[in-house]
Amino acid sequence: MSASSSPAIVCEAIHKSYGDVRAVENLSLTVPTGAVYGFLGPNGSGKTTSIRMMVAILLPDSGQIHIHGLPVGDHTKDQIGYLPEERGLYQKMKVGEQLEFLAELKRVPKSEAKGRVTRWLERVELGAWADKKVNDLSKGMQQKIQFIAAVIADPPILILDEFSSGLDPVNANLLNDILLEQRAKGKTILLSTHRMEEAERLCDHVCLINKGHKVLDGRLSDLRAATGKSTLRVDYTGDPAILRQAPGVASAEDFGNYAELKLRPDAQSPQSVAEIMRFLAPRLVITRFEQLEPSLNQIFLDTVASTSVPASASA
Amino acid sequence: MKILTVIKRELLTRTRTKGFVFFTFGIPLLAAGFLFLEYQIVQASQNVSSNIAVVDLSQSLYPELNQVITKSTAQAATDGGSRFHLTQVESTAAALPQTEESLRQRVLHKSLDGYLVIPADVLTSRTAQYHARNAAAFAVRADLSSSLRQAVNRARMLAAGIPTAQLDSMAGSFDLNQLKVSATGDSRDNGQTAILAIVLISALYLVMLLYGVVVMRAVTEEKTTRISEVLLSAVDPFSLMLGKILGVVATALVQLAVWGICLGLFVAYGLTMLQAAGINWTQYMPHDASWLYVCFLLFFIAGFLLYASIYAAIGSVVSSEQEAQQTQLPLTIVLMVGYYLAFYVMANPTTWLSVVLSFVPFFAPVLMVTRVAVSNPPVWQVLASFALCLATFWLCTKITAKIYRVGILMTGKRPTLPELLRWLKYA
Repeated sequence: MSASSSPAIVCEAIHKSYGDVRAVENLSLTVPTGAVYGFLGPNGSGKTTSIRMMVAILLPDSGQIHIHGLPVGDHTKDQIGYLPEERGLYQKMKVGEQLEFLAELKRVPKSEAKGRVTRWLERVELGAWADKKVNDLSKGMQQKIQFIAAVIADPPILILDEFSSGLDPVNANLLNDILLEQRAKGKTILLSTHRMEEAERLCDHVCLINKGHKVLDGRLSDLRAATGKSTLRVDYTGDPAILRQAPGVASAEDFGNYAELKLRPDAQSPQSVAEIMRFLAPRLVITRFEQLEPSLNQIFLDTVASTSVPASASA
Repeated sequence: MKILTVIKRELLTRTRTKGFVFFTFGIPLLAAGFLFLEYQIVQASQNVSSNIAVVDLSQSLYPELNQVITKSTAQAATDGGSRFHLTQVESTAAALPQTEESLRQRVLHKSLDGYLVIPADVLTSRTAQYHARNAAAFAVRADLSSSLRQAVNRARMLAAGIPTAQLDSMAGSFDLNQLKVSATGDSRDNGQTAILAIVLISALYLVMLLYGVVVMRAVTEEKTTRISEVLLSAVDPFSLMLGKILGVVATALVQLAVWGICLGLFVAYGLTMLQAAGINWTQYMPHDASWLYVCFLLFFIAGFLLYASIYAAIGSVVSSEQEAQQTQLPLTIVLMVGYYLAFYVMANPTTWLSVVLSFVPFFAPVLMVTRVAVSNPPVWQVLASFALCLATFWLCTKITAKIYRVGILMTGKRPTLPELLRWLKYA
């Protein structure tokens, strides 16, 4: 089979409407095998609908989806481990039995399921909870169980919708580590999130969608390079109004302790930056001054702003 | 096979709950307990005979009364009548107050259960007085009264000159045997078969109502716990839905099998008791009902599956238990209509309306069984109706799977019918 050579997920011009609401419009994307792919967008942008089509829960109105070269359908379900945004487990079933059941549904042989469940529960520090009912567990614990449900069958593709939401930092780190392990094993991981810093930390590819449309798609490093080192980060104390008056600064976003200055395209050379520093130094107390590629957050905001103002033009 | 995994989970998690174990084994135990208690009470009351003193002022009725009472006491073991032990106390009209006083004392001291005063003119007045500690012992009073009536009648007939031998032959009881004349020329008695049919279809209804709701809850539960999205990412909705329905049906069958075996044991025990008591129970059984039982089994399975799939559809549309209660009302009404139609069909099994109705899948399980019970529909009709039932079940499950696929993702308000139809298109 051509499975290994084909990209993990290919969506071609998929559409999905609910009555008059167009949830996804003309979305095309390619998730390369082995990538950690950030699927980003604000709430209600069509992320979850797109994902549900990739896992064959919903069917697109038009367009095609291929999983490792095979048209999406019931037979591609075993290739994908899915953590839905709406978490759900049988509340009155025991943790261990439930995971064994979900593993068997993904065609893990019964003889093997038990051992895997035990190993995974120990990995997420819930080894003692196998015989407890799910509704005896805290929300964070249930979240980890749900995560195990996605990875237990060891599928080549993981689709995780808001995988770290509702987790405390310790557990978020734990799942982060597991995710990195999975990437090291060559898994393709699609992360859907609206938290840009998370995507920035983990992803090598990103795809931004807004209101059902794709607005940006590519390698994270390429996207950053394309916009150039257009941002200055300044940690300061003093009057933030001064920041906007510096030469070559298009706009400034003040966060209180620090600010991000957006540079005009003609003001990104070392000479221009030095000039800004000379302008600010006598007027503010500066503890840090750094020229950066824009954050994903900045890229996203810019792109959304530039595409959604003339919304009718892009439709 | 993923569907087997779904069935297995459904069966295992359901049969292992405390509630299931309690109902499955507790109910037969409870029933056995009641039967045992009842038996003990009957035994106890049968072994006790009322000790009664008789003051016969007529000086003639006592021998007759004693004869009647002795006979009925001998039969008490089989017909459940009261037992009496009579002793005659001599007295006269003048001495009656003293006699009564001493008897009253004996009653109060419990060496007597009661005493009977038969007046001198008993044959014409037809009254007597019974004094007892426990005036409310209804059965004792009724049996005593009936014995007195017989004794008085015998005495009067004897007085009228009818010989004793003739008296006994005149007292025989009468049985009316009912025979059914049917178009096929086959006449068998009908009453028991109709009763059997009512018992069978009532059982069918009870099962469909009880377990249909279980199926509905099972589906709604997946929506409310939101596990359905995880499940659907692993298995296609049709397998999931079929698996759930078959799983709950299998659970029900396990429970019903346990109950059936217990019931069989009770009945077998009861029949041997009747046999031992010298009662020929076979005359009360319908003749050769094996075809009826086969049909019942077929339609039991088909009807159960069909209604389970409809309940599952309701479960997949609604998003909470309360909503489910309201939405299932129309289905309950359909079930009730079918149940009442059964009585029409029972009375008119061969009219075209009955024949047509017995093919409508939602009514067929009950009405076809009724027709088989009270008339002789052609075998092809029975099988065709059965096949139609199964096909409808299959179709219902298909549609339910589609509704479920879309329904889980929309947990807001209950959809209207047009919205439902659109859902079917989305899926």
